[in-house]
Amino acid sequence: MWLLLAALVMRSLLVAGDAQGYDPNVHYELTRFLAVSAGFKDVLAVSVARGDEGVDDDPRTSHWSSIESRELYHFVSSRRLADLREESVSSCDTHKISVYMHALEDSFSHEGFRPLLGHFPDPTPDWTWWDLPRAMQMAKIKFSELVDLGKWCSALPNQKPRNWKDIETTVHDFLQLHNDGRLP
Amino acid sequence: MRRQAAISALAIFSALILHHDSLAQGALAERASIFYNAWQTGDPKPIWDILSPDIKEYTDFDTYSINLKMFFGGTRLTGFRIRKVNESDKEATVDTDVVLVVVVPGEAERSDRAPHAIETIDRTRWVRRQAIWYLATKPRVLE
Repeated sequence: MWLLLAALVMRSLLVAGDAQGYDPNVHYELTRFLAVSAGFKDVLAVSVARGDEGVDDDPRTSHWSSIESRELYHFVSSRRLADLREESVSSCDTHKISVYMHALEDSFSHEGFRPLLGHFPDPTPDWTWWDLPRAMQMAKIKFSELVDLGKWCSALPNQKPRNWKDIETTVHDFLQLHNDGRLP
Repeated sequence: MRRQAAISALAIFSALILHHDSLAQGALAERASIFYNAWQTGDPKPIWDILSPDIKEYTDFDTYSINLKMFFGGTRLTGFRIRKVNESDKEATVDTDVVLVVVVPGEAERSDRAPHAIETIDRTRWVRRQAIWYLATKPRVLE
């Protein structure tokens, strides 16, 4: 819980830079929280979260920057998503897990959009509170994937994963907030 | 050399496209032209001005324009023609022939990554608010 509360305080700072794809609150804070809840060691949870947010922050991979990056990381095909998952599972590498997590998250917010133009000029697909049921679906699947990764990659966890039911309300309360921390 | 030839061919093609008048007329076609002209010149302000007022209280121009400028850098519009307008009382779509030049940032000097042209049809969605057409955004989903 404290991680999420800290994230809420940080959210207004992070939004100053804004991001592409889901906002940093999803790619960094939510990822870190879910990874820790899935049993990941904190240092590895941070590594995955940083890598996840880094996909947006790096101009070479940002989804606004090119069609190629949109195809590879943000508007991926089901085949590409399956490949990223396989790479994560087979390598247990935190960077590969980060990229897979990012593509998985964006596959929810970007469903129905083509990589050619992304969702230009509409910013709302990246706002979790704009479509909260969809964002909750994303978080649940993402948590499930992190739990499974923890089972397959023995170096990642150092504790038993929590149950989704135990964290669902916290995740919901977090995702329903606007970037500036208020209820929209 | 190949890159120059490709860009020259693109320029000629774009000019041909631009030579033709819009196939659609009317207020909505004019609003759509504002959108594509702004994209072509890389100016986010006119796009912000015609963006649905439904979301204006949740974001601001500075935040919005950062992302648009990045987008313009990688996906340049070099020509367009409004092809078809489908409008009802409150909603509409506009189909537009567009010519895009795609750039991979930082790798444009590689021959296999040279800017290349894509011709496609872009569909924009519009909503009418107080008799004025605005670029639509995804409808909000409430629990």
